[in-house]
Amino acid sequence: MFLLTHDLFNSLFELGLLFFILGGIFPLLLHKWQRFASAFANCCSFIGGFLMTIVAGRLLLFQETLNLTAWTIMNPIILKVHFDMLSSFFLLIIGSMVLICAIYAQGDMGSYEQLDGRNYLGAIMNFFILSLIGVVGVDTSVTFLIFWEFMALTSFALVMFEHEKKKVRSAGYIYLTMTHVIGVCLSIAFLLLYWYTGSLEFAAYKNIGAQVSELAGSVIFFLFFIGFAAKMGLFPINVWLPRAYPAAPSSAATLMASAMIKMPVYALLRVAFDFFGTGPLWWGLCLIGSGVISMLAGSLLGALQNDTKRFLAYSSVENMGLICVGIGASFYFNAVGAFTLAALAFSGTLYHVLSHCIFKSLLFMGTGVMLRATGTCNISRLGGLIHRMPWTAGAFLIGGMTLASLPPFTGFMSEWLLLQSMLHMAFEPSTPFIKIFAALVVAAMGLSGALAAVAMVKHFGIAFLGKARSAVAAEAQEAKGNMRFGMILLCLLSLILGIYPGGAFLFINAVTSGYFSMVFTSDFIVVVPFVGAAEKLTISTGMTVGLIFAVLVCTYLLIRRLYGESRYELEAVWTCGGEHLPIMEYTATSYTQPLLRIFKKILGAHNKIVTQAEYQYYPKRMEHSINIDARVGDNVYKPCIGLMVKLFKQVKIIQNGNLQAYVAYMVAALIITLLWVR
Amino acid sequence: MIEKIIYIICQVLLVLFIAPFIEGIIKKVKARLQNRIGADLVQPYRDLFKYLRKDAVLAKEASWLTRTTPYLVFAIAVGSASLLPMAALYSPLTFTGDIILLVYLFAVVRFFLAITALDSGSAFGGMGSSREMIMSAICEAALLLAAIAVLMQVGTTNLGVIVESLLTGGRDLFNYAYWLSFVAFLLVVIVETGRIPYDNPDTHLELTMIHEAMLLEYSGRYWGLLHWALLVKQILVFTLFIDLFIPWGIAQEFTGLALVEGSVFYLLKVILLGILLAVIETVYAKMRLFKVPKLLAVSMALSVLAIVLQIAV
Repeated sequence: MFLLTHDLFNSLFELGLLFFILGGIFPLLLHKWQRFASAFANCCSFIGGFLMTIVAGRLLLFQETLNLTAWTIMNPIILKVHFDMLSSFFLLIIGSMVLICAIYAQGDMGSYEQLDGRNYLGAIMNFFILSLIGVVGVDTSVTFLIFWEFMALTSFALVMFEHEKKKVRSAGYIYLTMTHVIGVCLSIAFLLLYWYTGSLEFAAYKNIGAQVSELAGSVIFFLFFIGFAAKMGLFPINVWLPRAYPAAPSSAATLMASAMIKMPVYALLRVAFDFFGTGPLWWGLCLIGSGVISMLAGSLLGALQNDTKRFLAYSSVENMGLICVGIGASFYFNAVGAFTLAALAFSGTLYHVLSHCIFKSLLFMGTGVMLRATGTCNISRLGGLIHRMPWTAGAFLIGGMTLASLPPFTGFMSEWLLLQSMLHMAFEPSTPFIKIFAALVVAAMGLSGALAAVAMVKHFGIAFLGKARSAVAAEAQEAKGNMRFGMILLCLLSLILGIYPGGAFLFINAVTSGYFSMVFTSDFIVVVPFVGAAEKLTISTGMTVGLIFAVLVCTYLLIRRLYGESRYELEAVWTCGGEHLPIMEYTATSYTQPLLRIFKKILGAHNKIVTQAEYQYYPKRMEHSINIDARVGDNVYKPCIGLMVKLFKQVKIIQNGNLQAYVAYMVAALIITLLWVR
Repeated sequence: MIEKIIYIICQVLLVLFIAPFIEGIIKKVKARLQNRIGADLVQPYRDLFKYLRKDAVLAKEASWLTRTTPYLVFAIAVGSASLLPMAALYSPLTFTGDIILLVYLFAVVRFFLAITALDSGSAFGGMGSSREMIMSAICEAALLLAAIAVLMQVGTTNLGVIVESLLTGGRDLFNYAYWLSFVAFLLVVIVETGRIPYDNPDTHLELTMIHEAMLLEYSGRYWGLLHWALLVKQILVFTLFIDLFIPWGIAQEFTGLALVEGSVFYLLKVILLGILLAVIETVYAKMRLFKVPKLLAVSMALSVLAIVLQIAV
């Protein structure tokens, strides 16, 4: 037993870090043996991820903390890590996602066979993972910012991996600009905190809300919130997200969408529940409000996309909105003193963080396989893939059901917890405004969940079912064993956490109990300790699913017994006597056309039809395009960019590119400095 | 314990075998109101067993999804029948699920129907699938709002507790909030069961069709199972409405006499609701497709009003 001591786990953690560092540096040197280098990098990520999962699991199950001091950069800036329950939870997510992504990445490597520099992809991935662990692990503001920027830079490098494409470059620069905006907000917020406390330690910021005035607290809180919201991709600062994800290689996009996007969630939880603990009630309501807007915008815009990766990016906007609602609800309940409900919303948020990791990485992997097999993610060119890629289709279907929060998968359990907390916001006594607000939020959650289902049916149905719409779709090949294995693992996780919520609560309770003196007993049945009429509220998807499965088997056997084996003939689809052609199928654009029409006013979408013809009635060629980015893209961002360009033109007077002028500035600066320190 | 298990099996079987009968009644009432004689009440049973006996024809492109979905949908519909209180207050399985699980189980049914509609690659299926999914997305918001209007008086989502508190709460029939949410939920019921003015269940040859277009490619035993499952789902939607708005007469104790009484009341209520829908169907014309969101918006507005009234009172 002595082997399982605390020290062992400390060294396991160090060993894991070492593997990531090795996997980062070594492949950089092996430019000649690219295949070996990337395999080595993936192997290091795999082992590192495995060790991190074990360490984080141990920390959570035994409720231990892990402290390591590495390096005093300069006093008082010390590079040290401190894993409490919250950071361990996110370490668990990083570890397990890295583990599964590494398996998948090893299989996916072939799709960049022709590209030079595959070794860099593996290396950057390892550095990227290292930065993620740094972000959740460190507990001083300066080191946090360092790792935060490190994460932004490594992920920028991943986005720019195929930099010879123009689209990728533009996506990369937008992403870089966004990270700067975030950096500014976070730096100011941390500076303000330093100003008030005189310390860089996170521990010193505990209960900062009580020490500063409400105004100062609000400024700090919302600076943090804007910074994290931009990284989470909350609407309307989500512009980078749908551009960056499709640009990144599949394995990198998987890790970015599952683990990186959780970092701002971690940071927001840290700020909201550790630094502030509690605060004015309207902060919570603001969080819920911005979460709802982002949910609706994400699901609506996502459903209209024809590119699966773009849709998944918008779906992240939606899910981050939902998580933001959860955090806001928890904050609100905490502020009004309803701790059971606060704990419920908090657990729901963490549950959804887990679910989102699982289904988003699963879907990104599925899309990666699709991209690899056909060379496109545009579903209008695909079709009928289920016959040629049965495993991927099955995995994509399960991922899609989880995304659409359908039982029995994990997406349903987390959505249920969050819906319950919002419903109880409407049920519990409070002001009429809050009650109506909560009721509308529940309706919005229903709408956005159902819109996600629309998008999922569209993407699965058009890409995987029906007839192939192009030659590439007709000749697609199934994924290799490694990729398949990664996807199957995630499918199983999704099912297990869906029907056995106790498994997730084992880890979630460790975090929740640190902030609220409240845990939920759960195995197959989730029991929420409400008071009053809701006392008897329990749910068990596992039992319902078991029952439905039993009915399924009985029905099948009974029908077989009564009417014999299933007999059917295969015939071509009836098309009024003609041959059934792929162009007769419903297209991706037409699938969501009703949605576009119903929400036209809100989207501000406009169609553009260009006809090339001598006479109007005999067009030779017609081009039809729909701009759905009109509201935000044209009305908000374009004026902003215009204003910026104007401002920068003013700056140009100083920065005119003239070498002599710059030398003059330097001399002037030198003289001023000398005068200053005289 | 044993009697509860027997009861739940009876409840499920009752719903399973009463569902075609209710459809028969609705069709008969409609026919009479339209001055036709109409088929007799057992016609839906004859249809169902005829479908089940027949061989099927499937599209060449159809995958295993088309062959699995009917069984899955049937199992979900029948399984959900055990979650709802019908004749007695506490369905023994209410601890496994609440109203939200039920709504999401219906969503699973819709998800699979919509996906398999695209499986054959026919344009009709795609059209139906697209319309159904999008309209039901808006309907989901309306459904939740209408449910909240009722749940706010109760404070829980557990169906057994909801019905119990509605019964003991002594409902004021002249409460405006009650009637507003009643109408709001009735609109949702019409949409969920795919009836006029939202959709026409009798035809799939209309260009504005929604629900039936999805099922066009099914035949033989697959269509039979699917059809039966959708009839059961219709009854479940009715039951949800009954539980939330007219729960009177439900058995509160678990004794033989009370159960019989409760069952009779339950059947009566379902039949009355079916007749009400048949009358609405006869009186109204089918609505244009893009007017449907407005109908649902009306339902949402009514629910919000009901919620406001409840908070104010």
